[in-house]
Parts: sequence; structure tokens; C-alpha cells
Amino acid sequence: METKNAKGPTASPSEALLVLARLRHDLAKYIYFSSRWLGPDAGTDERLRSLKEDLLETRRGPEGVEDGWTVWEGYFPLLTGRTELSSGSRVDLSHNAEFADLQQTMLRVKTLIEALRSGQPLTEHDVNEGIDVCKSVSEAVRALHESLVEGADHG
Amino acid sequence: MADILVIDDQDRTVDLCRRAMPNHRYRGPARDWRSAKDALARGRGRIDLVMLDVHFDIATELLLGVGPNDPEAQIETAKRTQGLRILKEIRKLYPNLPIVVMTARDDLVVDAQLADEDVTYFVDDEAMDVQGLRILVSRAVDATKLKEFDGPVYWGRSLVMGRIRQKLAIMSQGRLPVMMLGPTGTGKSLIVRHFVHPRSGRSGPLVTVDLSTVPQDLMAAHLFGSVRGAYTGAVSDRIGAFEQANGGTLFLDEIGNLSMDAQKMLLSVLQEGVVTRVGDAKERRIDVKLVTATNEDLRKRSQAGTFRMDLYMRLNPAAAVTLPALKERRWDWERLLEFVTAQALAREGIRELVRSVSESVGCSREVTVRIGSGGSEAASSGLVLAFPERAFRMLRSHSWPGNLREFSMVIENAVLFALAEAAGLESHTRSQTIVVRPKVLRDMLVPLAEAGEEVLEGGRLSFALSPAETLNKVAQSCERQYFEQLWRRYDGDFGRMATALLGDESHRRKVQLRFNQLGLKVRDLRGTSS
Repeated sequence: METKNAKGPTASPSEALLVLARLRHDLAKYIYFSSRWLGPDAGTDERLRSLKEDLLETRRGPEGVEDGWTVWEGYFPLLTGRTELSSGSRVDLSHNAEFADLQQTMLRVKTLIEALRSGQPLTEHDVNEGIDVCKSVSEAVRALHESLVEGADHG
Repeated sequence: MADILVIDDQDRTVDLCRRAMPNHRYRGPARDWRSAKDALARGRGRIDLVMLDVHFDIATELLLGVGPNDPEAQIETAKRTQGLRILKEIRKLYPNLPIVVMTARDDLVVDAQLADEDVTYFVDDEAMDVQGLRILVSRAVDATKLKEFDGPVYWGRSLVMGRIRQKLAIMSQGRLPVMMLGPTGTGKSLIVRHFVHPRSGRSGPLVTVDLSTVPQDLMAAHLFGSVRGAYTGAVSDRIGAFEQANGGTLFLDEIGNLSMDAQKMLLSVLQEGVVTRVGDAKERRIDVKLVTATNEDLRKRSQAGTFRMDLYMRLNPAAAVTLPALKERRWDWERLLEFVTAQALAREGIRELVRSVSESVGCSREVTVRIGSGGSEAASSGLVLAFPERAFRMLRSHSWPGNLREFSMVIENAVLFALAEAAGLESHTRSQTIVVRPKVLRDMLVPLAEAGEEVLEGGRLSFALSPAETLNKVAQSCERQYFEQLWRRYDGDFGRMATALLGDESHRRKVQLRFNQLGLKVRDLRGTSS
């Protein structure tokens, strides 16, 4: 696991894993939440509604609503060593290939959110592709977390 | 339809469940243990299932198991495992409530004991699809309902009744006698007939003898049999209850009425496993599962010498099962009412009335029981039998000295009257909803209360206790009930209440002030009294 950063002490593997576990809960679970539950016979309208919920209301609770990109933005500085953890140490995954892929997929999420917010009509193909992107993010975060857990076990 | 409580710090699970499984009724989300506990208590035993998230991103002061001064990592772990901590707390209060725990499988470090429970279902929420969840929820709800009653025996979901059921299930299969205690009307005979005997694994019959109805001088012959000429009037050989029950179960109800002679003979049967008919010398080997019941304190009786101590010990008092009085089954009230009402609706004469009313209204014969304001006529294709909240409160606050027996009779009467009234209405005024009128209930309950034990008689009070967040709240609940009962007792006369409480009528204003502070309202109490 790459957790080194010149600006401060390196976070312990368990600290880094805790951040990833939170990301898994806050983003991976909820960005592909409604869509994962869609039945095979769900129509385009239903699929679009699920996509909107997953992307625009990724986190919805008493504190309000956060879209998927906002959730990611909350974690990104923590995971790239730009912000210290509360212990004062830092995690930097910016050189991790899986993390880089995830970042690329999240940029697609950002574009999708902008498209949904602008109200531009989406085709059935767009909707299905959007759902695939959500699924990819969910799987990528889980895979990243799991490979870091594995790395920590062997390291 | 099931009542499902969702415990989750986020809204999305409950929203999705509402959409994906609209046939159920959802409560919540409760976002932490405190609000979950409140929701469960408010559910009055009607929650069929809990859906529980594991990761709770909530304020530290709301988390179970940590405090604000604990290290960050510890707090973070508490957040990640909060659902499992909540699960443990729920289990302490509701051991039989099915709970679906939703979490990523590899994120789990589950206590082996919790994982082994047959009412806890773990769902990998990163893999489960809606169809899978539907099946799981339906299975979990059905499994609980199976344990909730056995034929006409309603166990409910309370911890006390759950333990009694479990204990009796084990004891039914053993060779030792089963002793059942508890007030009259709590369903002892019903349980023996529909639970203990069927589970005993015995192929012989169940024979029941109510010893309060057998004359003392005939008791021995009745139980152990007799030969011709054994006593005046014994014109032929007669087998007794023990021999009749051979290979099966013998239930001796009101065992405290056993004559001293019969006690001696029963002791011998229990020790030797043989029965000797009165007037005969021949011993007959018998194999009987003995179940006894009483509402007397046999230990005291044996200490006083009116019941044989050696026999008492042979009846297995150490493992005695005590059935609670109806008023103590507060957790189950609403469902118990539904259950007893359903039983009443199945009775022959009432079934006919249901048929007649449903035909005249033009709906199906299916009857939905509605308590309080929940549900609507539109949701039902058949009749709706409605107990208004006032009627429900009236039933719940009655002391029920006759317990389930009395309760079943009152409900059967109430259902009968409501249906008969509906059947007698002009066709244009008939409705799908049939209301059980509080006034009808009151007319039945008042004479029963007068005939039964007065709540305040001899300074004794009974309280319905339920857990609260603080002891102060528990105390307040008791005080509120106390004031409510006094208010009823003295017909709302604060002067008399002051005399009862403080020995002086002049303290009426003080009593009235406290009455108001407790949140009691005369208008509401009048509503439940009229």
C-alpha cells in the first residue's frame, strides 16, 4: 500500500483501511443502490429514476443530500495526502493504479451528474451506460478496499 | 402485510423498500439505538421485522459503546460496527424478533452467537437483489408467525412467553412431570392440549381431569380406577384416568384439590410407575406423562401440612412454568387482540353473520381487523372490523381478573354485537367497515370490573411497565398510571384524590397541578371512560 507523503508521517495501514472502509460505505454502497435493485423488466423511466437517485442523492439523511461527486470530493484530499487524517498522518494513493482508474471513472460520474442537473434529455442508451458507470464505481471502490486489505494482511 | 422497522442512518434503504416491497408497512428509519428502542416500544409488539444497517455515520454521543473522549480509531470502529451493537441490544429485549442485518459480507466480524440465531438473517447488501430480499423478508416474517402461536395458543413475541414456550417444548419431551402455575384463565389447559401433549411424542391419548369438579371421596377411584364392590355403588370394575392415559398424557388441573388419600396413591404411582385400582391388589404398569396445574401456592400448603411435601417435590416444582396474567402481557396486546378477534370470527354463528353482512355490502368474506386509525377500507377487499383507539385503550386498561378466558369472551361478544348491528342496518347505511363501539365494550367491562378484583383495593396497584430511556421516565409512567387509576376510581374528583394521596381534601389544587404536569388530560380520560 502506498501511503507515503513528504508532508507528514505516513498513516498506518489500519488507518488507511478505515478511510477506505468509510468510502466503501458512503460511496460504493450508495452510488449503485437503487439501480442494483432494479428488476430485469424495469422500464427506462424507472431506470432513470434509479440513476438519478444514485448519482444526485447518493447520501440522503438528516444532514441533507449529497451527490456522488460531492461524496468523492470529500474523500479525495484524504486519499491523496492533501489533507491529514485526524491523527496527523497522511494517506496517499495517488500512485496506485486502481485508485487512478477509480478517479477516471469518477470524472465520468461528474459529467453524468452535470448532464442530469442540466435537464438535458437522456436516451435509453445513456441511462444504461450511466447505470454501468455507477456499478463500475461501486466495484472499483470495493476492489480497491479489498486489495488494500490483502496488502495489509501480507505486509 | 408485515410491519417493518428500518434502522439506518440514511433514508435510502427505507425509501427503496417502500418501492420494492409496497405490500409492507414501514417505520423509520430510526437513526440510532435510542430512537430504535423508542420505535420498538411504540410498536406495541406489532413490529414483525427489523431491517438493520451496520455502518452508522452518526454523532459520537449517539453511538453505543463509545464516548466522546475515546480515541478516533475506536469511535470509527464503533461507527462501522454500530449495527451489530444495536443487534445485541435488541436481542436483550426482543429475543424472537426477526432481524435482517444488511452489510457487505466481508465487512462482517459477527459474534458467533448472534450469527447462529435462527431469527437473525445476514444480507450481503452489495450482492442482494430485490427479488432475493423479497424472499428473505417473507421467509423471516413467516418463520416468526409460526412461533407466535400454536393453534389456539397465542405465545406472542415477549421475552417471558418466548422462554415459557421454549421451556415447555423441552419439558414436553422429557419423562419428568410438568407443573404449570399461574392465575385462572391464563390458558394452561389450552397449552397442555395444543402444545405439551402434541410435543410429547406419545401416541396415547390426552386425558384431562379437573380435580375441582371431582368429589373428594371418589377422587381415588376416578384417578386410579376401582374394582366391583370397592365402595358403595361400585357395581363394576372401572379403569381410572391414569390407565386411560397410558402411553399418553394425564393433565391434572387444580392439583391442589387432591384428597390426602389420592395424594398418597399418586406419590406411589410416581415412585413406582404402577397403578393399583381401589379395592384391588393387582399392580398395573403405566407410562404416563403427568402435567399438573394450579393457581395455589403448593409450597406453602405443603409447609402447612395440607399438601404432602414428598408429593410436591415429585411434581417437579423446580422446573415449574408460571403463565403471566393477561395484564402483564403488555407487549403483545395489539396482536393478541387481533388473534382473539380472528378466533371469534371463525366461530360458527359469527361466520354466518360475516357471510350475511359481506353479501349485503357486496364485498368478500375476508375480514381485516383494524386497531386504532391505521389502514383504510380501500386497502381491503372484504370487511374491516375496526377497534377505535378508545376501544383499544379501554380493553388494555381493564384489569382482566379472568385473564384470557374473560378476554376471549368479551371479544367474542363485542364482535357478535358489532356484526349483528351491522346486519340489522338499512341496506343504504351499511358499510364495509364495522366498528366495535367503545360503549358496547364499556357496558361489558364495567360489571366485570365490579365483579373482579378492584385495582386499588387494599392499596394495591397494578402497572403496565415498559422500558424507557431513563429511570425517571419509568417512574413517571408509573405515576401517570397511578393518577389515571385514581382519577377513574374517584370519578374525576380531585378532592377525593387529594384525600387518598395526601390525607386532606384541601390539597386538591396540588394534586391537579401534578396531574397536569404528568401530561394527563381530563378530556382524554373522559374519552376512554365514556
